[in-house]
Amino acid sequence: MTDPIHEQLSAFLDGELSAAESELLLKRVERDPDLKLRLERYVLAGEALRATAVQSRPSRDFSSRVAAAIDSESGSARAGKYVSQWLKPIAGGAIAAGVAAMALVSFRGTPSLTTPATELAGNTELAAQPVKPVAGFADSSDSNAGSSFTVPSQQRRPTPPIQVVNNGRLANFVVAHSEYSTPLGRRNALMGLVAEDVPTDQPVEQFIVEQLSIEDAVPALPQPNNKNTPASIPGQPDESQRVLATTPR
Amino acid sequence: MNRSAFWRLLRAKPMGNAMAFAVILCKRMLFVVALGVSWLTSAHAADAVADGVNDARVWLERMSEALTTRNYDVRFLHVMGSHAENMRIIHRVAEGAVSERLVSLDGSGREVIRTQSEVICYLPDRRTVLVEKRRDNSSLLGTVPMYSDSLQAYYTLASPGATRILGRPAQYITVQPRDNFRYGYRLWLDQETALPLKSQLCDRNGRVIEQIIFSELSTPATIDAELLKTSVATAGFQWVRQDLRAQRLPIGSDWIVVNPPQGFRVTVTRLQNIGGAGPVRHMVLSDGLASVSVFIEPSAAAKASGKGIESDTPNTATATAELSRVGSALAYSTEAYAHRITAVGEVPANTLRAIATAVQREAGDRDASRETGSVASPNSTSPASRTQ
Repeated sequence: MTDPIHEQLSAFLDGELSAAESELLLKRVERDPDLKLRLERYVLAGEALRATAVQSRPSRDFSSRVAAAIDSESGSARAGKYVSQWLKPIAGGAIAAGVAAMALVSFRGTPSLTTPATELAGNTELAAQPVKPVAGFADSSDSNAGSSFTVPSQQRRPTPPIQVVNNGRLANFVVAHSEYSTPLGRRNALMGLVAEDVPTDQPVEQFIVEQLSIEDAVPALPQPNNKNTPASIPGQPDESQRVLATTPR
Repeated sequence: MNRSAFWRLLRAKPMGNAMAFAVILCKRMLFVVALGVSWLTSAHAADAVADGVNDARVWLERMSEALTTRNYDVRFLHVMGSHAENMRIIHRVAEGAVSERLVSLDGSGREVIRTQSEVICYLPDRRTVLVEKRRDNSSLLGTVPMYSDSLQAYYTLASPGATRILGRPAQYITVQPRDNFRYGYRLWLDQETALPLKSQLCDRNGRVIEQIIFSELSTPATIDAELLKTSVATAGFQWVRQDLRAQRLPIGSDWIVVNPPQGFRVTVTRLQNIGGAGPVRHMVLSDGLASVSVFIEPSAAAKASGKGIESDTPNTATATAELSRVGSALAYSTEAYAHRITAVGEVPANTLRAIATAVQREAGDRDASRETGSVASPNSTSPASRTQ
C-alpha cells in the first residue's frame, strides 16, 4: 500500500518502528479517530483470527491493553515498551488475517466459462444470483469503515459483501481488456481464456481471496447507538466488542 | 610556553608558520582525496544500479518488441496453482500484418486466433465461437509499449544476470512491485531473440501466480499462413459476434475514477458494444505495466425498471459485489449509480476493488476539479491531498 500512514502502521505492527517513531505515530493515532479505528481493526483482526484458528479465547485483557496503549499518554519510554510487548503477536495475526477472510467468504463455482453457450450470447446479468450476506460482512455495506484504507473514506463508497462467482460475460470483458494490455499481459489474459477450467478447490482461489484486505476479516463496526448488537463473528470475544463499541466515530 | 610566547615564536619563525600551513593543507588534500575516492566509488555503485535498472528496462522493451514483431512458433507449459497445461502459440508477421494463434494442446482444445481485424475464440468444449471485431492497429511498432522512468516509482527493476534456459543463454530480469497493488514478473529472456523462455507472474511476496515455461521454440523467417487456421470443426457451433470497435470518448467524460491506487491513471475511455448488451463504457487504467479495464453498464434492475439510469446516488439498495477469475485475470464487480461496474485485470483483487469502488459519476462541472485522481502524477504522495 502506498499510503504513507499505512506504511507506518504496518511497520509499527511489525515492530519495525523505533521508540521515537512509535511515539509520534501513537500521538497521531490519538489525535485522529480514523487512524485509531484503523489500528484497532488491524489489531482485532489478528486477535479474531487467533480466536478462530486456535479455538481458544484470546488473551482476556488484550484488546483493553490496545485501547489503553492508544488512550494513554504515549510517553516515549512507554511507547517503545508497548511495541515490544504486544506488537509481535499482532504482527503474526495480521499476516495470517487473510486466512480469516478466506474462511468467511462463501465460495461458489468459479471455473471460467462454465455457463451455457446461450448465456455467452449476451444479456447475461452479472448479478444472476442474490448475494447471501456472509457472517462478518453483513453490516459492512452500511458502514464507511469497510472502505479501503488507501483513500479517505468519505471519497470511497462502502465495500459491499463479496461473492466469488462465475459469469460468462467475463470472457467478453477479458477479450476487450486484452486489447489494452502490454504484449505480456495480453498473452497472459488470452491464455486464461484458452486454459481448461480449473477446479474450484484450487489454491489459486484461496490465494485470490487472501489478497482481499484484512479488513474483510474484521466484523463491521457497530454504531455507537447499537452497542448491544451481537458480534457477527462467531466466537468474537466480548472484550473486542467492548473496544469496538466505545470507539469514537 | 604561554600563548603570547607561542605567537612570538611563530612570528619569529616564518618557516614554522609555513610548516603548519603545509600540514593543514596536506590534511585538507587528504580529506579532499578521500572525499573524491568515496564519491567516485559511490558514483560507480549508483551507476551500476542505474545500469541494472536501465538494462532491465531495455530488456523489457526488447521483449515486448519481440513478442509483437517477430515470427515465432512456441510450445510451452502454462502452470497455475497445481494445474499445468500444454499450449502452443504461433505468431506470424507478414507484410506488416500480425496474426496469432494460441491453442490448448490438452483437454479442451480451445483456440484464440487474433488477426488485424478480429479476435476469435474457439471453445469446442462449449460448442461456441466468440468473434470480436477489433480496431486495425496498422502501425506494428505503435503497439509496443515504451517503459518510462515512472515505472520505477511502482516497480523495482533489476537484471541480476545471465543464465541458461532450454539450453539457450538467457538474461534474468526481475520486476518487483513496490506495493500490494500490482504483480511483478520474473523473466528469463532469450539472449538472442529477447523472447521470454520462462516467465512467472508473482505477487509482492514473490509467490508465483502463473508460470509459462517454453518447451520448444522456433523463430522461422516466414510462417505458413495455414498454421494460423483453426483446427476446430465448428459445424453446429453457436457463433457469438460482438464489436470491439468503439467510439472513443474524451478521458474523464461523465464517469471518473477518484483516487485510484497510486500510479494508476486513466489512459483510454471508450463506448463499445460488448456481448450485444448495449453500449458499455470501457475505461482503461494503467501504471505503465499493469492495466485494469473498468466496464460500466446499466444494472439489471435499472434496465428492467427503465428508470434509475440517471441516478446520482452512488448506492443502490441491492448493491452486491462479485469476484470472478479467468486464468490470472480477475474481475471485481459491484453496483453504484444504478450501474454495474466491473474492473478486470491481472492485478490483485484488492486493486480491482479499490478501482471499482473509486468510480464515480461526475455530477456536472462542479466536481470537475476532483478529477485529479485520473491524472495523478506518479509522485503525488503528498499527505495533504490524501487527508482532505
